[in-house]
Amino acid sequence: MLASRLVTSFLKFKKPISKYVKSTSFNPWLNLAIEEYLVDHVKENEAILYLWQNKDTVVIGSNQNPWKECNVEKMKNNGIKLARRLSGGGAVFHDAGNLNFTFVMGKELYDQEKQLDVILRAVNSLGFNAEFSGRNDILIDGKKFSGNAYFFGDYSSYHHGTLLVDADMQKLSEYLNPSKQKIVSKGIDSIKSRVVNLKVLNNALTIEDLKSSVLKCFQESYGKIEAYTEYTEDAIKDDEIRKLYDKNSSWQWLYAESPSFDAYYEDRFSWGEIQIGLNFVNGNIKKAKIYTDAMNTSFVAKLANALDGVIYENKKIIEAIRSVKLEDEEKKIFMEISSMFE
Amino acid sequence: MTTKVMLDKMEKNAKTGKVGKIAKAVGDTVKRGEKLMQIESAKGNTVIKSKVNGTITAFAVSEGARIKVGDELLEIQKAD
Repeated sequence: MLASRLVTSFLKFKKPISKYVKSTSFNPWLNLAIEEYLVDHVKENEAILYLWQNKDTVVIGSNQNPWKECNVEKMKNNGIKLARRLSGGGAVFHDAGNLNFTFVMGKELYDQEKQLDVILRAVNSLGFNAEFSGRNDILIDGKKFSGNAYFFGDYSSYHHGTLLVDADMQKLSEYLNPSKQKIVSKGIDSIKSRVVNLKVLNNALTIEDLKSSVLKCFQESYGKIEAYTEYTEDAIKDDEIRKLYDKNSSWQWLYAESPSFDAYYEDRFSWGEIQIGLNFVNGNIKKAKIYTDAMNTSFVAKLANALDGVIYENKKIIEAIRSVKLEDEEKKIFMEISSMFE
Repeated sequence: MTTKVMLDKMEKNAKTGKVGKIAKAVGDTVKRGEKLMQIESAKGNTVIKSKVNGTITAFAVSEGARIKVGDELLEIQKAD
């Protein structure tokens, strides 16, 4: 016990080995795989600054529900990627106008205040007057330009965040706005914030300026960079990163990792009104509760049966409903019910 | 022998949190180091891993539950 305390104290005062890692890929699944690789491999005396950017992506927190946080269908249609990170917190939109930073630290070197101070100094040395909100955001005049989130592993931790320089605010609000579908989730809900691009406050600012400033301030706090790694798209050729990439891009991770939730649908047809409550566990329908004021309710059990175990994709639900073998009248009812998921 | 998995402490001295994704179900076998569930506090996200090999016999919490340090999370019947 005493020995471990002595090691801890020693590490706090010993100069860390300072490393800089950059990714030139704009693929969120690869960039998050690299981040996870770094947190798995960082040594206890290492302080890593990792800078990366994603192309049009919504990144949700570890315990969030994509259907609740963003417009999944619209994203699919418009080629916007969904990603889930290891850290907690809410959903954010990333594009090339946003810079992401990650501090990957051995457990004992991890110091949230010190890391935040790097970012605050990096931004303020460029002429801004930013402050930490206390709610994991960094603000200028009450408007958020940086959201921060944290992950704690067994031997290492990371603190990462966004820095909005020139992000597409229209896309940000468009995709972080879920469809009207009513969803009640056991997960973490996002908190809406007023956001601002740093470029609005200083038109001359570029992502490169900010990168240089963050790197400079990181070195002031953690010492001169002793090792530099640049990852390209080729990072995927590394077996371990490839495995992490496969996880990060899988339906299982992106959707099924959501804590359990309920989705509600209702509509009125010529034969009556119907309300459908679907309970999802691991992204699959575990229980369907169906209420109707229709005269003939014999179809209810057939519908519940058809929905059992179906994954939460409108196309799959429609297929499941339409594939039930039925007589004419019930077939018509099922066709109409399936239209509720279009 | 059954062992109770407790929320002994949280990162950065957080006192309360919310149960996130539960990775296992009652009856599942678990190995030492395997992920059991996530706990999210305002300070960040933590993965709770099994410290023993065994079979899960009961959960004391469910996804979305508000919990505090000292609360029981689940029970595992130890295999060895």
